[in-house]
Amino acid sequence: MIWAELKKLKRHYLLPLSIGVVVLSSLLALFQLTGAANSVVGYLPLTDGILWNNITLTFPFLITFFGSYLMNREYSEDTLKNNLIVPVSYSKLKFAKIAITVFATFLFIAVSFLCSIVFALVLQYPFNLADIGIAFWKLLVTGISCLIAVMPIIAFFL
Amino acid sequence: MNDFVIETKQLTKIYGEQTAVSKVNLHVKKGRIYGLLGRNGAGKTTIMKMVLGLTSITSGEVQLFGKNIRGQEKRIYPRIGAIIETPGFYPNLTGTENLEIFAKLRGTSRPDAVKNALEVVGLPYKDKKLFSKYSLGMKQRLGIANAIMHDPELLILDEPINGLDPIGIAEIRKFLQDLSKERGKTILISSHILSEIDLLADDIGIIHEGNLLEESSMDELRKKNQKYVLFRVSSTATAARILEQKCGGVKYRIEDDNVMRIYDMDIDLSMVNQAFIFCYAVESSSPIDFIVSMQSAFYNGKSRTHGNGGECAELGTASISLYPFSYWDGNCVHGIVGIYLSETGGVMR
Repeated sequence: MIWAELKKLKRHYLLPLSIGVVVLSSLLALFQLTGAANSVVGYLPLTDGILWNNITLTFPFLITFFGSYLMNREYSEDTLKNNLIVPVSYSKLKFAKIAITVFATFLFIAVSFLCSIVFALVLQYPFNLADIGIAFWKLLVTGISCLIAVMPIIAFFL
Repeated sequence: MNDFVIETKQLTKIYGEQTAVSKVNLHVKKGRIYGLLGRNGAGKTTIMKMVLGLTSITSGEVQLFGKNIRGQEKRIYPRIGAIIETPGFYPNLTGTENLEIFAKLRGTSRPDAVKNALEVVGLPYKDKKLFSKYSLGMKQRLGIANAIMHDPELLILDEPINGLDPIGIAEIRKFLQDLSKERGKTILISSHILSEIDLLADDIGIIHEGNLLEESSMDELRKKNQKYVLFRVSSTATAARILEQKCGGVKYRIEDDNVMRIYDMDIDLSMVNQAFIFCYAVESSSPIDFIVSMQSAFYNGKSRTHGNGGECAELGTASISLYPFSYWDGNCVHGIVGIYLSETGGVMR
């Protein structure tokens, strides 16, 4: 079922669009950091900015949208009936889509983390392995926390 | 042993105040094509959805393969292939990719199942055309391919020829007939096109405004709705013999000892009447007007006033009466005639 759900996303704009949103959010954090007067610049402040944008702007909306879109497309594209008579139970279908949403969340966290590394390299901010470890850990925990926070919306209201 | 693959008992579906399907008792026999015929909005799709468990049943029961589908989905669904309304597939994938997803979900073991199914419906295998670019006919074909891919025992097809060109319709019709006749598949097909159901179905259910008006085999339905002339005679066995002797090859059916029907509307009814008159007594049925030549009967001046006010004439051993509402124009009788023939000298009807 997971394979089927991943295949359904082939050539679909949902995943590239979501990754694009995460990148833009990270870019916004960079602009906020460099644009503000008297701001402390560096790798960790950059990751803090990315983290803050993830929590307040991007992740709650994006994860909810991603998960709910996966389920809703079965109705909008009228494919639910084909799935139900396979048979694939509605609850299993929903579970598979939630699983994909979880994978997608980790992907968004990874993209955020990658953006922080790339921006730091481009702007030549000094950082070390410890800083990378701290940044990754923060992004991971906050990303998972956002996922848990919005999961009831995806699971119970769809 | 239950020969019905699909059986519904008092199946009813009510949406709010509207009754979409009302107490439908459907019987789909194994190995036959059952045509569900009705207008748009008659309830055909709703019945199919209830049969498949895609929509809840307000009251009544559905049995598939002798079992209730609830709780038996994993056993029953793999034996069914279905198209309900317009086929729904993922627009960002090709036809092949769509079918591969459902083949994988079904656990279809045959590696060439997708390829074979696409071949049957005339769609290319592993092409690059996305489903979003498919025409209506191609979408319909893909839906049929999805339904037949896993070689199901039962096919439930909701207007499968919708959007197909005449050649495509003929191809699908032939394919479905082969599936039923040669491979013993059971097919429930719905349509609002009379000619298609007539060509395809073995049994028919006519549905109107949620009610199943008629359910019978196509042969029975054709017989029931054929035009015929009804003859009420003293002996149908003798009348049949006369018919075969005098008018060989006429299609008729004996209802009982005194009633027979002639289905051949091209036949000369006066010839039939004359054949009956000169051999045995017949009593013509009241709705039929016919012209009988009575020249010999009335020229010999043997007419007399009938008790009911009409005129009566002798013709050999036949006594022929004209009722008051019929008339003699000097050559022919027009109207209803009572004809009495006595073999032994007495009057016999």
